[in-house]
Amino acid sequence: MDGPQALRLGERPGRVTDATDDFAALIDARIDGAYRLATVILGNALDAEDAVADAALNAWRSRSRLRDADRFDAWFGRILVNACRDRLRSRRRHPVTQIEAMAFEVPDRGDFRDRVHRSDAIARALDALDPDERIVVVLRFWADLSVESIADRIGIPEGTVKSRLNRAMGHLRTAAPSLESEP
Amino acid sequence: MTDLETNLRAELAARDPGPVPARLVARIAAERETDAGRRRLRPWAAWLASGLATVAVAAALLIVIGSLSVRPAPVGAGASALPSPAAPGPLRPGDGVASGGFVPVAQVVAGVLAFIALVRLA
Repeated sequence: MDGPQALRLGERPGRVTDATDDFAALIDARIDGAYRLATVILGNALDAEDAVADAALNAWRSRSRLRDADRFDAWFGRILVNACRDRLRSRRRHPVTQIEAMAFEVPDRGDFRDRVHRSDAIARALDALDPDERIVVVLRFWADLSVESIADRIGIPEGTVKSRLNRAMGHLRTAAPSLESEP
Repeated sequence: MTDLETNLRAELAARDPGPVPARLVARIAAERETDAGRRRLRPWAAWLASGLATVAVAAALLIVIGSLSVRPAPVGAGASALPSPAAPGPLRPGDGVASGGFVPVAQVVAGVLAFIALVRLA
């Protein structure tokens, strides 16, 4: 049997080799999705690689704590999100000076120029969000997870997810007011 | 869906990097292997450390016991030690003078060079 149902991790400590091989396979099968999610959260592929590598190693080291392999996705997802949050917070403690990205000239062709400005505004607003808010926004609007799934993934109550989402959307509206209009 | 949500989804979709690079997969496998190796070594290291500690304690005990078991030399009035029975022989002519064909060329050259250097410095 493939997948998480193939084993109950931690129940048979004697079969270390088999269990570790299966566990490694579980992690490897999720690296691709983890890398994509981390890149969207962090906005930087190199940071995402580091975060995914950290998460994979942490999961590997604490594999004995996972009692139910059916919960692997939520468990690993939480480790990954924590790794991303740590990196976002560390980035805030050691801010990187941005090179003047607005100095380039955008060709003056109506829709293209609008698209560039719109994308730039939303990107800046996203990057300015608090790490916790940014994570729920990505899980909601990129991963298309429900509030319940987000709560499960991050390990917080649903009410907290909703309030973080509301707060994040409020910040985005404030940061990019030109984007807020009904179609 | 508002414009904000639409733009947000578009921006997030644009950040999607696509498939994971092979180097990341290799890096994770390598880190896992290193970690597993380290863990395999850990019991051996503990065993070695405890073995060394046991040997050190045993050696210290042996030294203490050995030093306590050796009787100290009696002190007080008694006969003094006898003089050495082997008397030094008389010196013969030529003792202490190097003879033979060995010439310490390196030492002589070094001495000459040192002398020349001293003269030049002066």
